[in-house]
Parts: sequence; C-alpha cells; structure tokens
Amino acid sequence: MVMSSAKPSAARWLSRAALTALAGAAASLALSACEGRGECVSNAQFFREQIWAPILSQKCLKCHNSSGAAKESNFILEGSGSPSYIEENLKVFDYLRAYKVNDEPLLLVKPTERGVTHGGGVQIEFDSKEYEAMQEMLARLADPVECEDEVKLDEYFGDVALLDEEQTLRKASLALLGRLPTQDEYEQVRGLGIDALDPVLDAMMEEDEFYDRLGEIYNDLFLTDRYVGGTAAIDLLYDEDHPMRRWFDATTDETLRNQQASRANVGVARTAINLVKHVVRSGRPFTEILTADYMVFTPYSARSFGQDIGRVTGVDGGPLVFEDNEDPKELKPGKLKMADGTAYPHAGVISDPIFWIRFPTTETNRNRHRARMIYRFFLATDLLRLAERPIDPTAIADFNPTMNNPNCSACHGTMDPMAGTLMNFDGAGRYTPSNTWFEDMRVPGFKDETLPFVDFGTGHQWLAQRVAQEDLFPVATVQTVFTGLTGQDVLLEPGDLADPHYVQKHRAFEIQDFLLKEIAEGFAEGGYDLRFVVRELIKSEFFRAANVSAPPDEDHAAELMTVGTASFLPPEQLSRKVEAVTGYPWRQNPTSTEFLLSGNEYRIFYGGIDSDSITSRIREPNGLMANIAARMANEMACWSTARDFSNLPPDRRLFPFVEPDFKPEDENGFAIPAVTDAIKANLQHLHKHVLGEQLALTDPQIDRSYQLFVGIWKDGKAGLADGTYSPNLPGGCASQNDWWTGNPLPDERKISADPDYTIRAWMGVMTYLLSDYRFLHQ
Amino acid sequence: MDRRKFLSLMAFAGLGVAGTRAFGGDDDRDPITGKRREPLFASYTGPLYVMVNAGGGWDPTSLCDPKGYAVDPMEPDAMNRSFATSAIEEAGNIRYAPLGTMDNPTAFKDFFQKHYQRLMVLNGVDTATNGHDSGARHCFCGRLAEGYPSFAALAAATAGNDLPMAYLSFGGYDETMGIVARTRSGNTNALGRIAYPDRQDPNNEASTFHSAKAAELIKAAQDDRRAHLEALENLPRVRNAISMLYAARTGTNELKKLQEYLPNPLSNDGDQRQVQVAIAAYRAGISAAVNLNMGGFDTHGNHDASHIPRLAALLRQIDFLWSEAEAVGVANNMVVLVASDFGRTPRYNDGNGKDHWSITSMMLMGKGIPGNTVIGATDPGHRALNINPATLALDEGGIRLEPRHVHKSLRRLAGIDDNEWGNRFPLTIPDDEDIRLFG
Repeated sequence: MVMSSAKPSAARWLSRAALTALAGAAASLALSACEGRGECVSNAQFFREQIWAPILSQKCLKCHNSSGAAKESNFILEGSGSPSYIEENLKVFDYLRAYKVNDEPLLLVKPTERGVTHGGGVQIEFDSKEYEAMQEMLARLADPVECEDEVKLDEYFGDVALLDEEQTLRKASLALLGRLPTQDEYEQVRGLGIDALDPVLDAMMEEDEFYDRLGEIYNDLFLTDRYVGGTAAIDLLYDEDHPMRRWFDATTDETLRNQQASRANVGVARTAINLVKHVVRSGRPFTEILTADYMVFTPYSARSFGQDIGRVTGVDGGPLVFEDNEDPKELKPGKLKMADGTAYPHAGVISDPIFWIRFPTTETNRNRHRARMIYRFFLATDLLRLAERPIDPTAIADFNPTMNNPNCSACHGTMDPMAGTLMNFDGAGRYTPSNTWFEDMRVPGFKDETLPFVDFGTGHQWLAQRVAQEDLFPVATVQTVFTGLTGQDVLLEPGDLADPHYVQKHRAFEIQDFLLKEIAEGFAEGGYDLRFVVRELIKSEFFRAANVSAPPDEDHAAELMTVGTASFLPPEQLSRKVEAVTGYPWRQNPTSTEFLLSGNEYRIFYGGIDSDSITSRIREPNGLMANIAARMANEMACWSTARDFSNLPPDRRLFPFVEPDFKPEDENGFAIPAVTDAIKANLQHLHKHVLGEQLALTDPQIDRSYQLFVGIWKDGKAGLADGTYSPNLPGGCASQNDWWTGNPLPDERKISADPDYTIRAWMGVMTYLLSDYRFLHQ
Repeated sequence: MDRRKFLSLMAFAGLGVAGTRAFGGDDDRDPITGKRREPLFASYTGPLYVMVNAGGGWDPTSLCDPKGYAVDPMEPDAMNRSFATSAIEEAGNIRYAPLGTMDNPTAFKDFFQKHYQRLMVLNGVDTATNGHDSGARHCFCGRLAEGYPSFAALAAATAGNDLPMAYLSFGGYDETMGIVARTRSGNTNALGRIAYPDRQDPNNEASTFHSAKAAELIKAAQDDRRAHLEALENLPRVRNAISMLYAARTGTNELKKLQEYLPNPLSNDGDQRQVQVAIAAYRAGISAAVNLNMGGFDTHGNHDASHIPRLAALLRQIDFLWSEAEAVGVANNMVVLVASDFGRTPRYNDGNGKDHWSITSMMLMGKGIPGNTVIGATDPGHRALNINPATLALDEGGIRLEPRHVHKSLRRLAGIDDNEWGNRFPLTIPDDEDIRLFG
C-alpha cells in the first residue's frame, strides 16, 4: 500500500503538555536530568507515576476534592475526569510545598500524623516507599527537572505509516456516508496532501447520509431509538400536554394512516437526535444542542406536538412552514407552546420529553440518574467512576449519608446539585414547573454556583447555559465523535502501577488525551462547528495509522495498542458498505428489511444494539458474527455477480473488463493472453473497489485471486463436461429482472445460464473478497 | 464480437499484462508451513461455567444473609419489613429469608430446601464500592479496577478461544479484554441461516452457493490471505483484529450442532430461554462459559414490592438451570456463581427503597463447590465480619472476605490461576490472606 509517514507535528503534543505541566509547577525550566537507565524522568512524569497514581488518587482524593470531607482545606485535588488535572494538581502540590510545621514540610507531616493531627488519620507510613516518593517530589520541585520529550514523541508515531490522502478519503467516505468516493473527489485530493481533504469532506458533510450516520453516533448515547417502533414514542406523550399527538387517527385510509403514524412517531422519538443534525447542518454552534431556545420538528412530528392547534410555531413566532409536508426527513426549528399558551422553556435536548423518558427518574432517585447522564454525555465524566476507589462501608452510618458521608459525597456532592436544577421534569419527562426542591438534598446548582431562586422554574435552562460553556463540553463532543469514527472507546487513564506496561499504557493515554483535547480546543475556539471535529479526527494519526515499519517489541506494542482503527464494522456500516460496493443492499427484495439492520434478523447477532436492553456494541467478531459475514459474502456474491454482468460494462461496478464468455484457456488448454490479461485487470479493479487495495498487476495478491478464479473455472469446466454440474446458475443467483423495479430485463441482458462456468468462478472470487478482513473492517 | 464484449475489451485497452504463476498444492496441508492441517477444534467437554448476574445490586438480607425486624415491621431499625427475624428459616446450615410471592408464598423455601446441599453461601463480602459498573466488575472478575476480563471470559479462553461460542453472554459484566470472542444471543429463529451460511436454504444441504471444490478453494485462498496479512501488518490493533476474525471463523461450521440441541420450541420466558440456549451450546461442545443476566434489583423505591419478586424470579431461574442441566445429564459438570453489583442499605429510605451498600453476598454451586456451607457473616447492621483466612471461621483478627478471594479460589478450581490467561491477569494476594474456599 502507498502510505505516507506520520506528520512531525506529533512531536509537539507531548512536549507542549510537559511544558505546560512544568510551567504550572515551577518557575525555572532550565535544568535537565537523566535518571535510572539513562531515561530522563520529568517532574510531571514523576508526579503522575509516583505521587498521583499510587498516593493522591488512592488515598487523598476521596476527601480532598471540592465537595469532599476536606473541601475546606487548601489541599483540593481534581480527579482524572478534569482536563489538565495533572498540571492543576501539581500546582497545588507545589503551592503547599512552602508550608512547614516545625521546619518539616506539611505535605509530609500531615499524612503521617507526625506532630499534627490529620482528619483522615495516617495515610502514609513514615519512611515508607510512599513517604520517600513524597520527599523526592518535594526535592524535585525545588530543583525542577526538564526532559527532552520531543524525542520520545517522535518515537511514538515515528515508525507509524499513515494512509495517504486517497486512502484516507476512501476510508472517510465509507465511514461518513457509506459510499465510495467519486472519481472527481479522488482527483481533488490526489497528491495534494492531507489538508486537501478539507473541502471534499466539507462537501460530503452536506449529504443526507452524513446526517444519518451522525444520528447513529448520537443514538449510541441517547438511545432514543428505543421508541421508533410502532407508536411507542407518541404513546408516551400525554393528551393533556399534546392533545394532537395521534392526529393521524383521523385519516380514513388505513395504509396512509399507518404511514403517518410511523413517520410521526419516528419524528417524535428522534427529536433530540434531529436537533443534533439540525445544529450541525445549519452550521450553528454545537452548544445549541443544550442551549437551543427551540426544538426541531419534522412535518409529521410537528402535527403530533400540536402544529394544527397553534401549539407549534416557527422560531419567530409565526407559522412553522415546511418545504415538503410529506418529507419525513425535513427538519425545521420551531417553538412549542404549553396548554396555557405560554412558551415552553426549551433548552436543547434536555427539554425534550422523550429524552427524559429514556432516562427516567423516581421519587427517590430525584433526577440523579439524569444528572449522571448529563455529566456523561456532555461533560466527559462518568460520575460512577468517582466511586470506584475503595470505600469503607462501616463508615457509612450517618443520617442522610449522601449529604453527610464523604464516601457518598464524592459522587453526590457533584451530582445532587445538578439533579436539583432538573426539578421541573417529572418521571414521565413532563415539564411541571415547581418552585421547591427537597430540603434533605444539596441545593440546586452547578459546581460552585447555586441556582438563583428566581430561576427555579427554568433550572434546566440555567444549567444548559453553564454546561455548554464548560471546557469539558467540547472534550465530550470530540470523544463521542472519536468513538463513532474509530469504533474505539477513549482510553481511560491507567491506574494499576503493578501492570508491567503501565508506563507504555499511560503514554498511549497521554498522547490520545492530548490529541483529543487539542481538537476540542480548536472546536471551541472556532465557534463549535462539529464538522471541524470530524475533519480533524479523520486527518489524525489515530484514524490514518495503517502500519508500523517493523514488528514492534512488547513495550512498543503496548504503547501502540490503540493506534489505527482496525474496527470490525458494526451492522449499520457494513450494510451501507455492501450496497456501496456491490450496488445492491443485502436484503431479499427492495421492500423487505435489511438483514443487518433488522432486529429480527442479524442486527443483534452481529453485535448491534436495540437501544433498549442491548445498548453496547460487540466490536470483536465471534463465531456467529463470522458466520453472518460468511453468509453475506456468499449471498451477495450470488446475487450481485450475474446482476452486474447484466449491465453494460460502463455501468458495471464489479466486472467492467470481462464478459461471461471470457475463458482463460482455449479448448486445448492453452492460455488466451488477452483474456487472462482482462481477467487480471478486473481482479485488480476488484481489489481496489472492494478492499481499497492499490495493487500492481504483478502483485502476488492478484495472482492469488487469479488462481482462485482459474481453479474454480477448471473444476467447473470438468464438472460440466461430465455432467456433475448444471449449466445453469443456482436459482437465486440468476439475473432475470431489474432488481429495483422487478421489471423483466431485455432478453439479451438476462443471465440464468452459466455454460462456461465463469460466472460461478467470479462468484467464488466475490465471496473471497467480501469475506476478507479488509472488507469487514475499517 | 458483441457490444458488451467489445466495450469490455475497450475498457481494458492499455492496461499492463501480468505474468501468471501456477499455484497449487495439497489442500490438507497449510500452504505456508506445509504442515498438515489440524482439526478445526476439539469439542469442549470440561465444566460449564455459569455466571448469574442479579443486575442493579441485590439485597442479601432478604435472601441468604437474612435480617428481619424485631417486633414491628415499621420499627425504625427494621432491616426488612417483610419478615421478622424470628421467622428466618434454615436449610441445612444455610439460613434464608422466609419470603415468596403471591403466586408462590414459599418460593424461597422451595429453592433452598431443594438445593442447599449443592449451595455455598458467602456472606459479608466487601465489594468496596457503591458504583454499579465497578461493583459488577469486582464481583465477576475479582478486581475493582478496570482492565480485567470476567472470570467467565478467562474460563472460556482457557477452554479454547477458538470454540465458536466459547463465551455466551446475555449481559452483566462480560469484558473479555480481547482474549476470547463473546457471543450475544438474538432471535434464535435466524440461527438456521447463520448455522449454514453456505446454503441458500438452510434446510436443503444440496442448495449450496458454491460447489464443494469451489468452497475448498475459497477456504484455501482465505488461509493464504491470512498468512499474507499477518506477514504484512504490524500494528498491534490490526494484528489483533485479524487474529480475532480468523479465530472466530475457526469451527463456525460447528454452529449447526447448536441447532440440534436447542429445544423446539424454546420457552416463551426470556430468562428460561437464556438457560436453554446456554445448555444447548454447551452440549454442542461449542460453549464453555455463559453470563445469565436478570435486571431489576436497583430498587431505590418500594423495595419490598419490587425486590422480593425479582429475587424469587432469580431463584426460579437458577432452579430452572439445574433442572434443565439434570434433564440432559450435564448437571454434574456445571459450576455456578450467583452475584450482584453490591448489597443494599440496611435501612429504608423515604421512598421505602434501599440504596447502595458495598457489603454483599455471593452464592456458588456445582462441581467442586462444597455444598451446605456458609462462610463469612455480617453484624446486625450488615457490616462485614472478618474471617480467619486459614480456618474460614469468624475471627476479629482476620480479614474481610472480598471478591478477589472468591475469584482466586474459583480460578484454582478451574485451573486458571496459573495458566497463560490467569498469569496475564493475575490476582495478587499475599499468602497470609489467601482464602481457600473450596479446600
């Protein structure tokens, strides 16, 4: 494969990170030092590996956080969910370095309780390894250590070969649109460098298919597709709030009524997803998914929400007008009115009733679950991970422990105030204004801010404005898109120092974390255009990494474990790729459901989700998934080979250079050079078209495919001669009708016989290619 | 020359010409190494490891570590309002809550009396967390921190990570860390077409897409292709993905055996269907470990009304598991772990619910598990009591029983503790804290 090497800019990332950390920790950066086996360990690295991971994160953070038992102390640490937490914590550590008790550093006497009392008791034994590490850290801060991190960064991506611009474009096009790039698109980037992709990607992100994919990515979070079946979403709305929710019941024609019901329901179920699509498509700041003072309707959902009785208006208060009232995919922003005629307090997705029905609450849960989801979706923080440090249950004997016990307040101190701001949404997702909140919970608010009483009725709007301005909002967005494009979860900071590859894994985390945060910074600085995130991720080393120049040793392999996508395509993407490559979807007929998308067929077996009880994807193939892929390869080879030959060569996707009567040998067994050349040229085309491989005609892989073709053909020829094989194609593999319309093909284009066994030989080649690693993965 | 052929040749005009290279060989031998091919895999005959997950955090004080009210159900310190402490019942050495449902008021009694001789109860297990994900992880892999596969994944990888459905999961903590493929069940009606991907009609063996010879040649080409990719690709992620794909393919033909063992029709009860598919896959020799999953235990509100029926359903599923296993003769080769995310608070909240509590219980049954046994205990406030690591008796100077101790013992039982997979994900416990639960 043609590949380019990693761009040198990778080197600046960690160097910038290290410098930031050091600058925050100490004024002087002039010194350098080498330790141990000649490896330089910077202050930041030492702090992270010897102080933060084994001591501060395990023993101190539980109380010494902004809401913990020691929140009134000067020693307040930030958890790993916070950006730049190492730098910030190192600053705090350095600040406290100056404090002394009897000439001993406070940071040493407090946790050992030597001469002072410590609310948390003895956490570090005097003269233990941990104590010595703390001593060394203090000494280091007095005499800072700087390392030439750039060398290490060059090493990280230095031997990684990247996809060139054409290969990147093919991969991006399949990932975003489920189609192959056009020749014109290839021409726009060929030989012009990776940044030449920008305008092409921008144009691709105007296509409807991109928004379908974006919807899938966000549904993996919001899971509102749980309600797209039947009238599940509409049934969850209340007549009192939405008296026109079943407007379609008035339609007398049953078929039309059912269609209207289905379209209205999908529009209602996907209100939050449609907002995401609308915001991106219209180039509006992505923060509007939280702050939008409107919601997004389809022509059908608008009627369910009350358009016909004036409950839905345009954003300017005038009528909401669609260009095509029968287009279920048309999206328009509008506003909702409540039953009393007052304006509904929109706040992006967090005022969508279906969104809150998907994440319900109870009288005792009190919106905590919903607050957790807001942190997870929009602030890149899994609150439950805060509870993953060991806790002592015998310490939990307090009255109202979520308020009073530090073991509980680690999560609840953060979660409960936010939960309070959502006080106006009941368990059924209905907006029911209230001016009171539970006295035995923390007061509603967010971080250090308390929700003003005058805003109690619209606490969610107050919250949305603040969350959208958080540094973690763009980080969360980038992480979501990263997972959608690569099929990988973002790395969590490794915490197991006993892991023999801890250092390498931490390095991998650090590189990825920095890359994503850098893109997040650009996203925020550029006005929150999500398309910037997509472009930058596609151009990144993580998306483009294709190979390493030599087999890495064990340590380097641990470092590179997340580089490159190598993602087993989920059912939705494989379904689109099958159609893009063969020209036909994998389904029995044009009106039947797609095998890979139907929950009654293979979607769940193939690792997909139902947005209900199955909400996480299987990303590594198992025996069932391998068999489904095998069936797809066999079935699509059978269905598409003769069909493609039925077209005229210029219209063929698969076989533009050969005909069914192109036999590689004559009746005497002599090769026919012009035909064998044509067959090989077609194989070269197939390797590129199906697998994305640009191979020379002399490449052994072309020869391998050729031998497969010839092997099957020779066997078939012998079988035809002795009557073992039928001269006709297997029933389902013939091409008699136009597949899309069902109309009979002209006789000269019908193919049901295979007298030379060439079509079956090409079917064998197609099965081989469609079952290949490079077809099934991206 | 007809028009189509003409256009084809015109399109081809100007392209280079490649030389051909004869390619052939013995199909029974690996074309790369020349070694004779091994059978796809040996059918698995070891124990079936069944992990039963009570998702959401169960309440052991309403089950196998029973604690009731003293006199009045509404007394402030009542651990349970549904039964009095004096009503607690016993089956052998095992005490259990005297509970049931409207349909079956003696559901708990029925279960414990029937199964106590194969049941080991571990009480006072300290999960050290109140988080759902971390609690489930701790209880089903033995480590609180992330990064370890579940015990079932280890067992499946040890049994043979090339088994087509080595690890069947219906939910719960089923992280594999890439050591074995996980299979999720869907609509079992589609299994026929999946089991016979080479046939147009799964019920017609003559309806193959390709001739036998063509299928053989395709397989050989795929094997060549694998060797080529493995020689070419050096990125660890890519190599791992290639390896996973080809491992998943190994023995996929054997999936058809599953068809033979699945009951027809399957139960209409989703929980029972999990059991039927799991046992059929095990009997087919293609599965070694399974996660069964039942949710609904996170009862922050109306605890008794919601939680007790879920516990009854859980016991019913475990009983169904044993009944099915006995019916087909595999009950003597099954190891079962029943656990949850954590326990529930020893008091009711204002909504009559119970919140998260890090002390829990676990139940073990089956091959190699001493039955009629209770190890560990909790005080009246459901705080864990220490046990002596050597004698397993309660001992103030002892240590708390933790999931890692349970998993260390389970790993020994399954022969995992010191094998390739166990060593890759070690559970490090000092000798003086090593608790050997099964002798």
